[in-house]
Amino acid sequence: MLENTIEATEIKSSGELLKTIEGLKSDGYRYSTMICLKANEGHDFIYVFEKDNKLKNLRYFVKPGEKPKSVSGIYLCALLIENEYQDLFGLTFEGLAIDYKGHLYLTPNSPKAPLA
Amino acid sequence: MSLAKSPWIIHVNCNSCNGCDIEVVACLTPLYDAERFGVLNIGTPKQADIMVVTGSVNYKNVNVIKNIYNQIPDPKVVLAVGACASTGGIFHNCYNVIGGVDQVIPVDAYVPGCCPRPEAILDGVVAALSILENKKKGNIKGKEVKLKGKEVPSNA
Amino acid sequence: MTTVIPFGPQHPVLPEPVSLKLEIDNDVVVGALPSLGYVHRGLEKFIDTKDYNQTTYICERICGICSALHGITYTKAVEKLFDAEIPERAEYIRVIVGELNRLHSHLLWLGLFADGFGFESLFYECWKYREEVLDVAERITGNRVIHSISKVGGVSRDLTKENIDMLLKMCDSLEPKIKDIEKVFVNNYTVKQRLVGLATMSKQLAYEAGTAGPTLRGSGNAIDVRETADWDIYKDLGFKTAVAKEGDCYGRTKVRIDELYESIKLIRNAISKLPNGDIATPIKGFPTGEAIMRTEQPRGEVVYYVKGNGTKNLERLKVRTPTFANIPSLLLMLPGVRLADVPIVVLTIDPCISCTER
Repeated sequence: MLENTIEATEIKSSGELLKTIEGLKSDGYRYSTMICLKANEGHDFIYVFEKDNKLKNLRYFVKPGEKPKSVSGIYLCALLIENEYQDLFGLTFEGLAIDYKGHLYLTPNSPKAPLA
Repeated sequence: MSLAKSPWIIHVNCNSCNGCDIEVVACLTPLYDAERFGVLNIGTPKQADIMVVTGSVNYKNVNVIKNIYNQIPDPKVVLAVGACASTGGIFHNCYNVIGGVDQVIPVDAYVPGCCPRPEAILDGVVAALSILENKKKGNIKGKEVKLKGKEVPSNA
Repeated sequence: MTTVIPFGPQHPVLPEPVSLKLEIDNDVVVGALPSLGYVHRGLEKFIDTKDYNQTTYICERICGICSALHGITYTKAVEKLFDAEIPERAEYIRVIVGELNRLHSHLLWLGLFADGFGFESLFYECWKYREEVLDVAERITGNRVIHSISKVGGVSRDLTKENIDMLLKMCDSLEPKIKDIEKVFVNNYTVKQRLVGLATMSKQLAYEAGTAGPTLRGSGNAIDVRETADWDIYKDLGFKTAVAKEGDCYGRTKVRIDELYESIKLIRNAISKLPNGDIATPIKGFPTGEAIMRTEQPRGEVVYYVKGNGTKNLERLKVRTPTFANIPSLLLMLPGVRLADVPIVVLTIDPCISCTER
């Protein structure tokens, strides 16, 4: 059922992504969360923003091997979710405010990148 | 002097969903009132006799629980509260869950249930008391559990 | 010169394993670094082995305190995938159990908070009153803590006449008792000395830091998902958002006490409007598509994302829990706080670590 797909603006490049998110911040949007999905051997990010109880979603495709840019420079609260995806999907974010280096949840003994 | 007349417990939350934890705390509050058995909840392992563990063990807290166990003076009794602490429960298949508490430290009594009622936990504590008394009489010491060392990373 | 002091994971004040590395300069915190992972189980992977109906029980065990609302939010998200019409009676029962959940969670927090600043008798008082809520919840749902009322398509148990009488009786007896403890939390000199002006966040800062729930509303932001979210039933029940302007620990306490009254009011209104009819519709087939569902938990807004691919297992389940949104605000609140006040400040966001790490 196509009507169940959530509305999201497609973003093509990482430069455009950061610019759009900066624009959203000055518009008064709050960072809600980011959803990471496996898609076409890469990852699909859905950024969820909220203002006046309305959601605004951005969709960004991360190519295989690409190091996505961190949003934690714009919204500090993004650092936890980005660290979580470093753990669970084995991604590497560039420019994280606090980098746990894949050990936010996991230890060297636990399974590596369990969701990837 | 009987040790079983005033056992002090330390409550360790291992990997629990909080359901058992709040029931353990509910035991100590006026309605169930574990203090009538002389039970006192204490923050430090060095003064505790009974270790009440809720939740299963995962790769990060395995050293925490071993550390706390080693710090409790003899005689000591471990009480595993809830399905997760006993066997891993509903989470036994999860990738980050090692299993029940008995995989890591010796457990003396189990309280089943998800979540166990406070009455059941009190029953478990009372059962642990006689084990504690026996251990004291027989001068049975808990084994020292070795830490493996590298399990906790020095992160960021 | 600064000293680094580890706080947790095993700490007498916190029942949960959260660990903070505190940088201390002369008894005052200058920096804090949270270290998580002590309760990480990996539930987002677990959906591979459980079908979408069984996942309800997994979601309820993300957290034992707000378990009913986790289950309700998950089932509502899956119902969105099916475009299912849910009987009105089921929605009302969900509201009632959800508000019972909030009542017991807030009373629990007030107790632990009182314990945090050393007011032992107030702690016992709050937990004594909480037992009344749990008794009713047990009668309605069959379990004290894990309520498990919601299932995909409706609710699993109906409210009987006896249950409704019990609920109303509980509301009547609880209200004056909350007034009693409110007097202590709001007016007591000692309590105010500990709370007023501690870890203040301005309205703007709390908004931008992405906080949720009472942490957000304690700073004067009137944002509550119950008011305008996808779950529109609250509009008919006369819901009003509780806000406090202070922005400190005192303000966040006041918000939670106001929400207790609000929950009692919602339960009463829901009972008076409770429609007759079925409590569940049968749902057939497997979920496809994706959906986002938000509800207000005791600790704040929870975001569920579900994606189905036409099989009995969901393809992706993502849960953004309120404490996950509130932990970064600790990094902003803790600097400038004295070491002795750190437990209070950590408790004031009502941390639920098992929610955060799943």
